[in-house]
Amino acid sequence: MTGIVLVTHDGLGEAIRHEAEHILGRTINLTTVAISYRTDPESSLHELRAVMAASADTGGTLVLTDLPGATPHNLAYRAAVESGIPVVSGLNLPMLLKVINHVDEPADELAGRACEGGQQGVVRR
Amino acid sequence: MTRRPLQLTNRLGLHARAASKLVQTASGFDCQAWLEYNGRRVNARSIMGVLLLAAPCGSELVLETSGAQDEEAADAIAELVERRFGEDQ
Repeated sequence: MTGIVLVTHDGLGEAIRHEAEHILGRTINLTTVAISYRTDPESSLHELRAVMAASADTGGTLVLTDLPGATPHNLAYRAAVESGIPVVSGLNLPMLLKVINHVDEPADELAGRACEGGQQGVVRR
Repeated sequence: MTRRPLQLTNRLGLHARAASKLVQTASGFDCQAWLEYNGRRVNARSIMGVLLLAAPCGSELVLETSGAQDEEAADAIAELVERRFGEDQ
């Protein structure tokens, strides 16, 4: 089992969690961290380190962020890299559903699933 | 191995919550499960696979199960589809 942390702009992480729980019909065990543009980077880093450590399960922790290069991702990456925690950007509902479905896998494998699920959801019909 | 046709009769077809219920049902049995629709074949235990079928109301799908509990899984999935995933319409 891997602990999941969503690090996003403001309420995006909670909104995605809410919809995933509606689809799955149950509560999902994960932690969200909302980063505002007003956020003080050092206090956010401190919070992120604490959340990532507290979220670790037997398989470790996986961090999902919404936008690569944006502050939530950059701060999450800085906090995660110190502990070797994988970070995957581009969070969307397909990515989260895939991750939840395979949450019993260790963090590194789950990071691969996250990439796969996120890309599977981008379809032109 | 079992193969049986399924017809979607709920108004929204194989939408997200319906797909999730189907996947949860299929995952509860010791067998493999596949769904075929419109020339595509997907793992019925993968929510993204099932969602990507985008099967609307009235669709005819084929369910294939194989493994120790293939009959039980096929019965449970067929029953779920027949009662429109628990939806009113």
